[in-house]
Amino acid sequence: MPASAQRDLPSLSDEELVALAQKGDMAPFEELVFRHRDKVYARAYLMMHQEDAALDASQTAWVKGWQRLAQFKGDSSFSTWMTRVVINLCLDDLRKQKRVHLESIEEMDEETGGVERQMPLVTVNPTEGMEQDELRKRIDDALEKLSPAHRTVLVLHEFEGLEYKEISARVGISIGTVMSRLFYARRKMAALLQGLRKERAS
Amino acid sequence: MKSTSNSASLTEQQMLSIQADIDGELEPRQHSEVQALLAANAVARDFRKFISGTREVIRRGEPTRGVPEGRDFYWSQISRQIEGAEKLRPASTPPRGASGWLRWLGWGVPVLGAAVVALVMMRPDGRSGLETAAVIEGSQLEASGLVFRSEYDGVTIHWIN
Repeated sequence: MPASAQRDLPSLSDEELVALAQKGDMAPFEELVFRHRDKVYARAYLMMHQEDAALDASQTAWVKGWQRLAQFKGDSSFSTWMTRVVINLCLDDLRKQKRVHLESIEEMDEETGGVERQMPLVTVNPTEGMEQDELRKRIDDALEKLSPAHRTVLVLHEFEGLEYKEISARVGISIGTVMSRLFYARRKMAALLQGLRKERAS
Repeated sequence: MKSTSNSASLTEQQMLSIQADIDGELEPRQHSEVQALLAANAVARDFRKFISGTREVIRRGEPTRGVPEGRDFYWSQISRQIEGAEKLRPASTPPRGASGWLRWLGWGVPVLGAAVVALVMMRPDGRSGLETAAVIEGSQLEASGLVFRSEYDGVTIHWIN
């Protein structure tokens, strides 16, 4: 009889569940899936912006998570470890689809808008007074309007908390391209949210 | 970085440096240069406010989303994939949870076997171990076994994997 059969799994911490699952017991792993499935799926969705692709990526991530569970040493939280697994899967998938383009000087110039182009600075907070749920919805809508290449960098930096060099290594682009894509993505997001503010005012 | 005091616009490099400073990516020297630029240039200060404000709004509004399937159905698909992968695992791979000595056998036996052969070949009397070894053969009877017999030492080793 597995050790988990005698335990109240929902009352256990992630660390305790991981320790039980690392002995080959799937019941504690199922509890971990139940706890973190929304976060893992949400991260996959942010990267892919396609429900089916995100669902597939999230399920594959849990399969990989089980297979690699022995490698989890607790250096980060289990949920962070799992989001990294799903992020890597999404990046692989995006690469296969050739949706994340290789950098080029022309592209970089286009992304930053060039030196000569004036950038509209949105200094007023366009989301002021907005409810949290509405803000999330608007951010989600705006993210969908970004290209996969720009959205990837933005998600990895703003939500996954990765540093420039980590993004550079994972996506396979230079740090300069990370900076320019992040800049473009932020500028685009600001413009989209500013448009939203005008919509709300009218 | 070159400061553009009272300049109406910023260079691309200046904008990216200010952004990197907000993101905590700059070395102390680069950080000082950005601080000097900000102190001297109102456009740079506006730009900083713009980037940090946008960053804060995006982070505050991180979208959340629930799995569009019930718990049991979602898990059943995962567990089926896990079980399918386990069945495809090569038979030689030790099962999950196999004890340490079983895993050790995987690489320890061949290494130890090689060490025994090497010892025989490096005999101190200068004679090659191979000269003294009457037979080193794979036994058909012991499918993955090896028999080593040394007439000189009067020793026979049966090696069974």
